[in-house]
Amino acid sequence: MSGGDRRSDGEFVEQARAVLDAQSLAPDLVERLVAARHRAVASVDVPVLRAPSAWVPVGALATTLLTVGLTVAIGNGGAPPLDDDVQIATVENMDLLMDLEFVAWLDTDNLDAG
Amino acid sequence: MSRAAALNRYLAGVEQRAFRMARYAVSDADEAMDIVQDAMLTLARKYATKPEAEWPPLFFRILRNRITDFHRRRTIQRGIFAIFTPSDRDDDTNPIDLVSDGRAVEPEFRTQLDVTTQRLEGAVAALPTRQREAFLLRVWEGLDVAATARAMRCSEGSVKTHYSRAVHTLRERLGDDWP
Repeated sequence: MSGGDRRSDGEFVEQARAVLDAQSLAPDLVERLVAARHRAVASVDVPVLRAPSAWVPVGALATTLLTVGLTVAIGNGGAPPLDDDVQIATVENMDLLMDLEFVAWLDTDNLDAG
Repeated sequence: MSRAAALNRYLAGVEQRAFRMARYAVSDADEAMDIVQDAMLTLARKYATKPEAEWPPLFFRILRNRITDFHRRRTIQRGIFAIFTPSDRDDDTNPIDLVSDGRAVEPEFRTQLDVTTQRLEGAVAALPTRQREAFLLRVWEGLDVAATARAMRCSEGSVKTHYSRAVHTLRERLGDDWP
C-alpha cells in the first residue's frame, strides 16, 4: 500500500505506538487504578481455597458410607478386608473426591468463560 | 515471587493501557474505571493460578467482555429492542457511533492532549470495534497474533484482517502529514 517516499506501515505503527506511549493519565485516575489493583490482588486465592472446601462434606460422606459397608460385610461373615483392600478403597475414595473438585473447578471456569 | 506479587506486577504494567482502551470504547472515564476494576478482580479471583503467560489474553478477553456488557446495557437503556453486541458483529459498523453522541474522547481529556495525540486517539476511537481491538492489542499491548485471537475470541486470520484494515483506515484518516 505504501509506495514511493511514503513511510511503510511498520514505520507508521511505530510512530503510533510512540505517541500512545507518550501520554500519561491524570494523577487522580492513576491513584484510582492503583487502588483498584490493590483490591484485586488482595482477593487472590480466596476462591481457590473456598471452592474445593464445598466438596469436602461429600468426600466425608463417601468415606462414611465406605466404612459402614466394610463393617457390614465383616459382620455378615465375609472375609475380613486386607490392608490392601482398605488402601485401595481409600485411594479410590480420594480419586472420587479429586474428581468432584475437578468438576467443580471446571464448572466455575466455564461459568466465567461464558 | 508469589502469585499475588506476580499478578500485582503484571496489572501494574497493563492497567493504564487497559483503562485507555476501555475509555476509547465507552467514552466515559468512570465507566472505563469500573470496567477495568472488574476485569482486574475477575482475573485475580478466577485466573491467578493460571500460568502467567496466559494472563494477557485472559485479561483482555475479560476486559472486552465487560465492554461488550456495557454496550449491551447501554443499548437496552436506549430502548433499542434488537439486542446486538460488538462481539456479534462482523461488519465495520462502529458501535460507538450507536451509543455515544459522536465524541470519541471526553472534552476535558482532549484538552490535555497535543494535536498529534488528539488526532491519533480520535482516529483510534472512531475505528470499528474489532479493528480497534486488533490494533491496540497488537501494537500497544504487544500481543502476538495467537494471543490476540484468544483475547478477541476469533481466528488468527480474522485478527490479521482486522489489524490490516485498522492500519489502512488510520493511515487514510490521519493522512501523510501525521504526525
